[in-house]
Amino acid sequence: MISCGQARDELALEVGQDLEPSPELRDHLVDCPDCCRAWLALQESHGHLQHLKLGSPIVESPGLWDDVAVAIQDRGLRPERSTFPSWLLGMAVGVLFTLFFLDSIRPTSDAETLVIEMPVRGLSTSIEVPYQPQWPPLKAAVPIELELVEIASANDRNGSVSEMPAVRRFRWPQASGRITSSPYQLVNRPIRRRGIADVTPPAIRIRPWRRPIETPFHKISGTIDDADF
Amino acid sequence: MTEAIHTPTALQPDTETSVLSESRLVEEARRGETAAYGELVRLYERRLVRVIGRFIRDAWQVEDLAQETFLRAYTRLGQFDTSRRFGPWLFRIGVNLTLDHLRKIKRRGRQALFSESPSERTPDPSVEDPRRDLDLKQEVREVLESVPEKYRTVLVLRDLENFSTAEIAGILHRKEATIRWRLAEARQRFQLLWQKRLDQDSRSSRLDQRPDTVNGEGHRR
Repeated sequence: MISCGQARDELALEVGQDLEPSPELRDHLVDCPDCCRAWLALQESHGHLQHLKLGSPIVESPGLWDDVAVAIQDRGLRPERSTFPSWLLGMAVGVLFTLFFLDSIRPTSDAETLVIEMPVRGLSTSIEVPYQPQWPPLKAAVPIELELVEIASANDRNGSVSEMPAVRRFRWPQASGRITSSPYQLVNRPIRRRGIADVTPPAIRIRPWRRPIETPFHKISGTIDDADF
Repeated sequence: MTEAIHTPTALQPDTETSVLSESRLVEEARRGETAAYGELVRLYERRLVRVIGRFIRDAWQVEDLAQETFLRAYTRLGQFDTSRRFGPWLFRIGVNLTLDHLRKIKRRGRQALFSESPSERTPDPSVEDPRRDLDLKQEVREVLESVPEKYRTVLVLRDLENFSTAEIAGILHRKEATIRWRLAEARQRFQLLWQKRLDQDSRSSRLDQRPDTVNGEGHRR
């Protein structure tokens, strides 16, 4: 069921045959005497407008060309050259084609996600890091740098509780694989992307790693160079 | 489901001319062959004059504006996309010039649309008295004049000049949906104003017919 407002808009178009009457409109008119009256009034006023149409203001051929030609000559008018040169159009087409071609060989989205799994305070956790290779691939893919803070505890740090947390940095794609050894906690902004200055790193989502870790995938020793990422 | 009806195009030039031959004429005119532009002028002048004449009554002003439209179009031929029809582009220039002209007049305090009095006509004794017809047309013009410009323009182009809504969209550089909405609004506004006019007329005629009762004064118009 359409509203009266909608019906009158449609009627105003239908009166000039700019719209096919819809079944909903016909149903509405059956039930709405106000819109029926509006329809009749529209037909009447439109008829008067058509009456005006019959009287064409000027009927004879004006023969303007002679005056226009004289004015062109007197004023020294010339057609302006196109403001959009054709070579620029060609260049724009070329750029678009190149971008389209590059986009067609773009890596799939699967290749753009880096998953790092690791235990956090005894709970296995994985991190999904959306990774965008540099595009277009003018250079090699820029590595992501992860910054992880190692939380010291009395048990696993040989009682040296006062020791400051250690910051470890890992790089990807060298750092591909899983972190599964000592308890690490992510700092809030662990990712930096070198070479992609304008891209804000997305928030890192940490989700519990449900599969129990039976054996460590990698053993991390003291330095990043020892880590097998 | 309500469907829009595709109205027949009104932008055909006075003689049958394809887009191809129009673009050829434009290309030749761009190269400085004014005779080619003369062909385009001849193709569109009558229609252009008639459209402008819907907005302005003074025949001299109409011709001046039409001439100015052709001159402006000539200097801007470089901007014209030859893959499109010449008509909508030309009428866009013409309608904009006309509306600018009306706005200038309005700013100067003169009555804008249909402001000039209709030309005097000598009654022909062999035909029926045309005054009634002229009065009705004048009334319709006056009501049309009171419709706001953006609706009036669409109403004139569609209902008086029979342009399709797609062509009006091209001329006014608006989306067709916008034009259709404006058209519906314009017809409703015109109907309301027409009704108002009728109500005023009937009220004043009732007053005219009422016998004088106050202080013995005659009725005043």
